Amino acid sequence: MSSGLDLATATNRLSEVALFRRVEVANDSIASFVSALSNLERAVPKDDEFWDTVVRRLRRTRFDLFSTPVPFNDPSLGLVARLDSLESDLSTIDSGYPEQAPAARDTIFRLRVLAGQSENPMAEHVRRLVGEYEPLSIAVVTRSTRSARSAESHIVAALEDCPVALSLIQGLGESVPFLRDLLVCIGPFRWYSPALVEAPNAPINISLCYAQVRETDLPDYRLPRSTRPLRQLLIQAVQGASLDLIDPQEALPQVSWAWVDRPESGGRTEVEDEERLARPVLLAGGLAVLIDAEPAASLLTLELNTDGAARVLRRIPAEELVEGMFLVLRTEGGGDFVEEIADRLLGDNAARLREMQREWKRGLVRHIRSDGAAAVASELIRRGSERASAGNVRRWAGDELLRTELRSDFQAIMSLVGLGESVDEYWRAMGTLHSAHQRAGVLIRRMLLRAMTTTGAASDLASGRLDFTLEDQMGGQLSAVRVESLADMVVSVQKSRIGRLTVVDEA
Amino acid sequence: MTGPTSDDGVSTVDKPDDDLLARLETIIGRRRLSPQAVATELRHRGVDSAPNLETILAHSNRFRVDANGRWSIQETPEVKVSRRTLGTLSPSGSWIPLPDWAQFLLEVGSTAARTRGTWSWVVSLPTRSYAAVLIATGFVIATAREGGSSRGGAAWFRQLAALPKGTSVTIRDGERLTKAVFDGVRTENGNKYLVLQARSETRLIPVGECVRVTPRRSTASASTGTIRLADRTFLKPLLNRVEPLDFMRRSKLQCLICGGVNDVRAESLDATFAALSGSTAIRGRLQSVIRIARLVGQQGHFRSDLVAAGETYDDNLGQPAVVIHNGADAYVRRARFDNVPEIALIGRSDRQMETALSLVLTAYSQRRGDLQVLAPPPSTGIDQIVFFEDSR
Repeated sequence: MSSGLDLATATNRLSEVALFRRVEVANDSIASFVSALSNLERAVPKDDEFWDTVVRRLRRTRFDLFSTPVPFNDPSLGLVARLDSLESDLSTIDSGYPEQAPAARDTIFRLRVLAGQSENPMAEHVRRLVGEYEPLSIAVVTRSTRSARSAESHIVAALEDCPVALSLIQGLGESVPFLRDLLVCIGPFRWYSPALVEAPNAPINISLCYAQVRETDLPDYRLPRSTRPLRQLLIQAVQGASLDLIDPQEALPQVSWAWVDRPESGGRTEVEDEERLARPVLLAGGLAVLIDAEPAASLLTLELNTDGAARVLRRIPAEELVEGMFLVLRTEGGGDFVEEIADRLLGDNAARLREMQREWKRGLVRHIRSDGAAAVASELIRRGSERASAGNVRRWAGDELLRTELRSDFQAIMSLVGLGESVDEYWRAMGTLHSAHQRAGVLIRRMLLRAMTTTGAASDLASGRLDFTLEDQMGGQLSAVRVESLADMVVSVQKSRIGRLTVVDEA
Repeated sequence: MTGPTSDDGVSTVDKPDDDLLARLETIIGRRRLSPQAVATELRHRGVDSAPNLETILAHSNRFRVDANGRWSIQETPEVKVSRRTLGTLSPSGSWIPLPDWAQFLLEVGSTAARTRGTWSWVVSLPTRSYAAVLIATGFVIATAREGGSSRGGAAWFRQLAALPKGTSVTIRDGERLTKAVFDGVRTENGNKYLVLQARSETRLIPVGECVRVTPRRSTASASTGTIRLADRTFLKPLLNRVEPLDFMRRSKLQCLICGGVNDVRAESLDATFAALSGSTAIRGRLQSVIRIARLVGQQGHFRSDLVAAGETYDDNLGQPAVVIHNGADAYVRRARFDNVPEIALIGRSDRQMETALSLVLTAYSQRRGDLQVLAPPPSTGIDQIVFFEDSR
């Protein structure tokens, strides 16, 4: 049988026979910190910007502790730096918030205790599980995409004398590429893609979770009248004192998307001021960016191994971006780098060609705004277009396409926007622009690959950002920055804001 | 419903509603029922204004009445792919039947092909690998006879008769293909014939033989001659008594697959499958059966087509008999086709699975009725519901 059918058969079978276990991890220092933070959350006033920020940063720290299998004092967690920053922010609370001050100080104290400890309970438990099940292969999935390199090295060290093939997967675990004997999720199953449970990749799947994060069952995705049995979660609970329990969703970091509403300044052309759909994305290092969410939008990503090797540049549909990926962005200057390099390649012709591009796009956008895309599509068909549809009309008006694939479509548009007599000239001009964009894309890719081979990238991985300075001739700096969180929402923003990095206050 | 059951020569104005016929099939099932029992059960299901049962009998060949006046389902002669026909080969070349989940998906396709009405069939699976191509294979094989039986032959005759005079066609004579030009229809002694001009001779092709005639999709450098032998030998055991050459040389859009273009393309061209003929296994690709239009080229004949999720389908190939929404994303972004039943494949590892399931549950909560069809095999992780949507 083919490997494809084999894999599908195994996945179908595993979905029925796979075992799901919750193994609770107890740690006194974690329990004290969680309890102190819960007290603080109860003590602080609601809708207070100062406390919202403090609590959000502490929750982020709690999530990193819950989700990262590294020692508490590991530099990659950066607890000391976070504590110093928090203590600085809280230096005046005795006068401003005397009622909340004790709870805040207790939380900081508990966290400082943790920051001095070298325990790594998660890695120790992974080792115990390997001893228990003796798998030949194991996948460890961590929801946190921070500290990945450090986490892998600690897990590798913990399993040093175990004959087991290990793979560490970061993010939501949407696509675990191979079947494994054992899969261990750090944290509750609900932190991960439903695919981990619904299309399991291992016969034994374990959620290794601090006892404070509550999960008593698995989500039920059965259709009505299903004959499939409900999936059971076998729980190996910690015995002992009562716990401050937190729901899985509540334990996830709370990202503030307030920066999306921040007004932007800077000169823009009329075309740049177009409204576009965009998705807010939080990046490593306290950065954020709005990515294009229009149909057919694409993004450049960099695939990395944790040792910085085997890096591959890949252009993906924008909707496929997920946490943990490295997004390639222009970090020096701004705007569309491809467009800028294409313009340099075009030399003196660039301004004229861009004006022609703006002219017909502007005309088409005007018609869409006044009549709607569907009506424009009908009119274009009447004028001889072969592929006009509401969706295509919107795509043609956007920036992704410089001209249509079929000349008949372009001719219909030109006729609609009053440029029918110049269709040949515009068709050729847009063809020239299209070729320049393609050459620019190839050039950037080549420069980036060259820069990658000469950059000591690995050392920067922990920060979640790799910078590449491109050749002098073209100039500029590109960075590959790890995606930490994607907003569920899509917002309408001015086009000039898309792709621009913003500094945000996220711990 | 257009498609396999619309070519019975009866005006759609006079026909009983397809959904009503589907309900009747559900009611009767494997039983034999008196007309009174049929009418009572229809009333219990809220169908008060059913047409006269005699009218139904007159307009549908799905039911038969025995000597005692009791109704039962008339079994149709559809081709059904057997577990012992389609399988795979081990590396050593030994025969391996399809696993349960794959066989079930084939049967979803063949059952869908003979189930009337504008139903929605939702299948939720751990993985969508090969699901769309297997369902399409079951559907296309079950309808392969269309055009081959006298009833279907009449439908094919009508399609050919509607061609403009002067249309280029090919005629299959045994293994050989001959070019000809369509020159209208002639009636002699009450029998209708296609009039075809082939070189210097005029040929009259009767209804029963018209399956050997195929319009050429392009007049420019159309190919004639021998058809790919590999496809034919692979198809022969799958199609049972339907002649592969006739099957391969007619186009009819049975399945439109929306979504997963790259995967479907790879899976349909995967040469891992094999058809068992006697004791000989013939390796082949499911594309030989489902004949996806965008993969067969300008000259090829098709039975299916494939579009990306959310992509507008321009119906220049005609209205499909069934739409397969391949994936949660495809279901969420689906376009509706009037009077075309749909199969939704929701992979539980699909990114939009939760959104799609929530849409399914909303549609299901407002359904007009359920359809009882084959049950998924145990231990495969497959779920399904089949129902009539209220909005359709």
